[in-house]
Amino acid sequence: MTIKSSKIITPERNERRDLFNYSLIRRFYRSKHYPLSLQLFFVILLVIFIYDGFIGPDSSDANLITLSLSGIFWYPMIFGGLFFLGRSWCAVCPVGAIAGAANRFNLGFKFPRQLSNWGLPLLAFIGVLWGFREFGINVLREPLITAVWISGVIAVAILVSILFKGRVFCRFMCPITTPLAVMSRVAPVEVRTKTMATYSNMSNKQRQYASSNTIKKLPLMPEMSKADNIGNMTSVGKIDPTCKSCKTHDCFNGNEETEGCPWGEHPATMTNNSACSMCMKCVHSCPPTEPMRLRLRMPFSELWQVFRPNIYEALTIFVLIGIFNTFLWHETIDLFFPGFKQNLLDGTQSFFPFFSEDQVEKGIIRYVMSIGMVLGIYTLASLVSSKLSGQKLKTNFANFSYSYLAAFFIYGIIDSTFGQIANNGGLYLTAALHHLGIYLYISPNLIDLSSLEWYSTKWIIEAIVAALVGGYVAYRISQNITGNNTKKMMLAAAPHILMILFLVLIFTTIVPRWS
Amino acid sequence: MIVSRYTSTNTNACNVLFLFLILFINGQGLIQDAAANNGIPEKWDRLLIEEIPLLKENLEGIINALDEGNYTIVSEQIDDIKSGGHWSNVRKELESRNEADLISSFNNSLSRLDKLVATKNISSIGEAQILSKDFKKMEQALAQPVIDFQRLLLIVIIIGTLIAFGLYIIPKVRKKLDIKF
Ligand code: SF4
Ligand code: SF4
Ligand code: SF4
Repeated sequence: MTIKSSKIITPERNERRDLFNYSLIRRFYRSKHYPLSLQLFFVILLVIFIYDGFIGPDSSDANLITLSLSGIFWYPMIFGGLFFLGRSWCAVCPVGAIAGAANRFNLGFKFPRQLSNWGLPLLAFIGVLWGFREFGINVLREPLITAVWISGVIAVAILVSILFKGRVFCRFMCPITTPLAVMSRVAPVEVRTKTMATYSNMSNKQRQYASSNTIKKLPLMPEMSKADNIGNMTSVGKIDPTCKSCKTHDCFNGNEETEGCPWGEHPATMTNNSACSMCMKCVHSCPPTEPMRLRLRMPFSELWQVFRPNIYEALTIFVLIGIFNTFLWHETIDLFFPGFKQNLLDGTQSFFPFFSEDQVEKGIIRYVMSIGMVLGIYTLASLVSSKLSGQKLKTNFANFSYSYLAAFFIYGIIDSTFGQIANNGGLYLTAALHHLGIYLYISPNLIDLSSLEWYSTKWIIEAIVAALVGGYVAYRISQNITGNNTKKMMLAAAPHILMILFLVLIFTTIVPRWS
Repeated sequence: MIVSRYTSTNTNACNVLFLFLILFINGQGLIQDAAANNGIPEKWDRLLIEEIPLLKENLEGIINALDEGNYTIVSEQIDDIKSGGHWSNVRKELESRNEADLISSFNNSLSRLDKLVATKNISSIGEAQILSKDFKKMEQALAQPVIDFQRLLLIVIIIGTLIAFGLYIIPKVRKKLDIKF
């Protein structure tokens, strides 16, 4: 079978997508002051915020730490930023910077293997950032508690970084590392080497011809066993010729000027964005032949090109979707089966007699049900899809999860980031300008989202775009995993497309939703 | 051989270190002086983030209660405006901006409304609308920026200097301790 030339992404086409072709971007990212100057800036800001948290106003709408952490930083900057630049926030994050600095003096212990996964960060994300508030500890909306919490996070980050080798805190402990890792895949940019034929720039046809032999032919990296090397290769592409003949692998090992990739990635073999903070250390350290590129790609395309999707990542995606869309399922079910809610409350409370009914409902039932229901609905769709298309359930389950991520990322961006700016943008602007010495009052609501006109516009964009993007990603995933069999492809995709539509409509339209 | 593309050192940072030290020591005093020089009243570090929404709530409460003909609630809301700290804070801010006209206009409307409400006069509704308009004018006036250039400059210099200092000192420390950064 021949591959249509228009489908093949040639090196020339790839070169045109390199953002380093633009001198402003090149100069910015290749400057030795990136990301250090921005890290310093955010460290200074964080110190000011913590100071304000301890001694500033009690109101969360006036205190800098709450205004910044739960407002401007989380939704518009970190969450919104993921859409354009992946997890670039991690390149400038003050906590990461402090942890990175402390790590230079590490005692060299190895972090326990059993904890080297996303268990701890997910627990911190669900429990501390979301769950605690129902038990009277709101780590994001109470200035003093927020200041204590963030100081605690910094203390743990320093301690862990001094004890263990590598960026352990960021990879296996930071409460927001899991959302950042999975969501960074949607970004339209990637740091890669020049001719790295990664999944993200291979056409579907090319991918079908790739075999596991291609992986085995990849050269070994220093300090890694062959098994490790293959285990870490999520690519079936070929390695850049410059990298193949490279003796030093400075991008990975570092040199006397710059450290190696702080995230332990080798850019020549990297095929996904989840552990790349775009800190550009690899670009700084690679010798002048410079095979490094900052390449533009189709947004969301990484989601249908995941080489080895794993079940844990899929589970993480649904935990995140469940948490972001804390839907009051028990109330909805109660409409159809009266008495369900009370029975559930009574039953659950008998296990947690020390909590009030309200705490049990808000802190336990709605989270467990939110996550459980989306996971259940997804498992059902995967079961139907795998039966119809004759695939293994595990493969189907791991692959299609990314299409739901696409849908909910779009919906989350519009709902939370746009909603946050529309509802509180004036608040942030007033506070920020005020501290700079520019005194004015801007009404917190930049756009009145409660008006029917705006609400319906937001709904239409949210629901339609999210369902379309999610559906398209599901279709592309199906195309990849079913090969050329159109019937199978349609049968595998259809249940997921329908479920995406169902979930998007439920979350965007039906009211019992808690925010 | 590895050729470094970055050979320059940040000598400018060194030049501003001295300035930074002076600013750091005198920073707080300068900020206070800057505030006093700009005629900003004593409690000038006010955001009005809480005050204005509270005032707005009172006014909405008045209009809603008048629609329902509930004069008791209207009186309560008027009392709340008069005695609550939020109006007095907004007033202070307007005073510092030399907006005495807006203050007296709002105060006059408020006391006229108060009198009309005391006699349960039906024209209270019209007066409440005038009060709302006065409030909108105040909001517009407060949306005009008053810039404290000294403070702005000082903050930019302090943060800029701290960054420059960090950029200067960190590579030095790195070399000295032989660690990569
Ligand atoms: S993983 Fe967390 S602590 Fe580390 S850099 Fe990213 S946001 Fe900051
Ligand atoms: S240092 Fe540069 S040339 Fe060598 S492996 Fe890394 S990216 Fe390739
Ligand atoms: S590969 Fe590593 S060093 Fe390069 S930009 Fe990504 S995180 Fe930074």
